[in-house]
Amino acid sequence: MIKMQNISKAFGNNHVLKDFNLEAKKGSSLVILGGSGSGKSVCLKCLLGLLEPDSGDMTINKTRINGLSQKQRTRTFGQIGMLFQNAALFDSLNVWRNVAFGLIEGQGMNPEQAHEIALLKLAQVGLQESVAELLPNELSGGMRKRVGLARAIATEPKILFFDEPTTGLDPIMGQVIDELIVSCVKELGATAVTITHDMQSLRRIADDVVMLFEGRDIWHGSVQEIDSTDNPYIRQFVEGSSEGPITMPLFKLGAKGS
Amino acid sequence: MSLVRVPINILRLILRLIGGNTWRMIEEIGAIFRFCVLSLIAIVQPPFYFRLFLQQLLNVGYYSLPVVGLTTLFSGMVMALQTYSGFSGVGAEATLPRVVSIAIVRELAPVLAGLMLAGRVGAAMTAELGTMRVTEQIDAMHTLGINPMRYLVAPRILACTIALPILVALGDSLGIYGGYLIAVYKLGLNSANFIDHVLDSLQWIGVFSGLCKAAAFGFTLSIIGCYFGFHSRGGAAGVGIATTNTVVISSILILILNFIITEIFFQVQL
Ligand SMILES: Nc1ncnc2c1ncn2[C@@H]1O[C@H](COP(=O)(O)OP(=O)(O)O)[C@@H](O)[C@H]1O
Ligand SMILES: [Mg+2]
Repeated sequence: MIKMQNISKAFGNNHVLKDFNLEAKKGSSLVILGGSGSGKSVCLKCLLGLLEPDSGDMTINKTRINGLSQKQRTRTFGQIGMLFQNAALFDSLNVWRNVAFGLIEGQGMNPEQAHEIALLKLAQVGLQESVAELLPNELSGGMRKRVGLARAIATEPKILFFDEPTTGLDPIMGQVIDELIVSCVKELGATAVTITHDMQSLRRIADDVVMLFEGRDIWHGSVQEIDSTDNPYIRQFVEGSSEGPITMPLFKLGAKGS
Repeated sequence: MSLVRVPINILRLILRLIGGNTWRMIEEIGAIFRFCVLSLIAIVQPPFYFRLFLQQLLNVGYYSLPVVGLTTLFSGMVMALQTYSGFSGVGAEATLPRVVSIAIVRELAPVLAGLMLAGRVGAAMTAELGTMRVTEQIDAMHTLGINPMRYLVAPRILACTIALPILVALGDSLGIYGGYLIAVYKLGLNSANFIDHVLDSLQWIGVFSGLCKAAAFGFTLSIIGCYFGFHSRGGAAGVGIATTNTVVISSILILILNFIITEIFFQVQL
C-alpha cells in the first residue's frame, strides 16, 4: 500500500502540493488525474525520494519513506519501476543496455541473460529486435517512451510508477501499453500509480482515481464512480470541456476579447 | 534630501549584493567539500565499476597525450630560448639545462597539463553529467537502484587522479627534450654536457613534487567538473553556465594549489 498524507511541496513561492493525500491499495492500480503543471510529476518524484516534501508523511506498506536513502529503499521494497515523463533514457547506451541496466548494474546479472530478458521486454512493448542495437537519439518519441516502459518493468518490480505512459503513442499502441500495465498489476500483483490525461486509457487501467487540482486532492473514488459523480471538476475533465470550475488563463483572455 | 539618500541607497544595495554573494559563495564551498567527501566514500565503498574506470582512464589519459605532449614540448623549447637570451650566453652551457629541467619538472608540466585538462576533461565531465542531470538520467539511475556517485563520479575522479601524474611524467621528458633540441641544434650546446647537467639537476624531490601537484590537480579538476555537472539545472543554458564555471574555478584552484604545494615542498627542503 502506498500512501501520501498531507504532503506539501513548494519551489520558492510556487506552492505545488498543498496537503495532498493519496492512497494506492496493494495490488491495485491508482490513476492521478490533473491538468498540465498541476504537480503530478512532482508527486511521483516525492514518492521516489528524488524530491523531499516540505511536510507530510509518505508510507509504503506501513514503512515511513520520508528521507529514506535509496539503498534502504531498494533493500526494503526491491527495485521500484519508474517511467519518466520524458523517458530519461541513458543516451550513451543502446536500447537493450538501457532496458537491462537495472538487471546488469543493479542485480549483477550476466549480460547474455540480461540481453534475452531485455529483448523479451522490448517485444512486450511492441518493439522489434532490430531496435535493440539503436541509440536513444535514433528513436521516435513514442519509441523512447516504450523503451522507458520496458526499462521500468525489466526487473519485475512490485511497485510501479508511470508518468504519462501513453502520451505520444497512437491509439492502438496506447491500448497495447494499457494492457501491459494491467497485466503487470493483475499477473505480477504489482501496485501501480499512473499519471494520465487520457480518459480512454484511464478507464482501461484504473481501479481508483485521484484528481489533483491546485495542489490538493479534490476528488477520490473508484473508476466506476467517475461517471456517476456530480463533482464539477471531474465532470469537466471527463467531458473535456472548457466550461467549468477549471479555468485556464488563456480562456479568460479569450472571454475578455469576445 | 533625496540627493543624500541616493548614495546611501546605492551603498546599501552594494553591501547587500556583497553580503548575499559572500554567503552564497560560502554555501557553495561547503557544498563542494561535502561532494568531495561523498566522492571519496563512493570510491572506497564497493561496488567498484572497473570497466568504467578503464574507459575513463583511456579517455582522460590516452586521448590527452597529444595535448599535454605538444604543450610541454613547446614550453621546453621556449624555456631554452628565453634562458639563453636571459643569461646572454654567459655560462649557458651549465645553467640552461638546469633551468629548463627544473622549470619543466616542477612547474610548467604539472600546471600546463592541469590547465589543459581542466578545459579538455573537466569541461566535458560537466557537460556530460549536466546533460544527464537536466534530462533526468541521473534520477532514473537512482530509481534503478544504482548510486550515481559510484557509477558516474567515482571512476572519473580516480581516473583523473591517476592519469594526470602519468601524463605529467611523459610531459616532463618531452619538455626537457624540447629544451635539448633547441640547446643542441640551434644554440650549439654540447649534447653530452646537456644530458649530464639535466641528470645532475633532477632531484627526486623536484620530480616528486611535480607528480604530487599533478595528482592534486587531477583530483581537483575532476571533483569540480563532476560537482558542477551534478548540480546543473535549467536545460541547455544551465549546462553551459556550469561548464564555464568548471573551467574558470578549476583553473583558479589549480593555480592556488600550485602555490600551496610549492610552499609545502619549499618548507620540507629547508
Ligand atoms: N525541480 C523543480 N524546480 C522548480 N520547480 C519545479 C520543479 N519541478 C517541478 N516544478 C514546478 O512544479 C509545478 C508542477 O510540475 P509538474 O509536476 O511537472 O506538473 P505536471 O502535473 O504536468 O506533471 C510546475 O509549476 C513546475 O514549474
Ligand atoms: Mg508531468
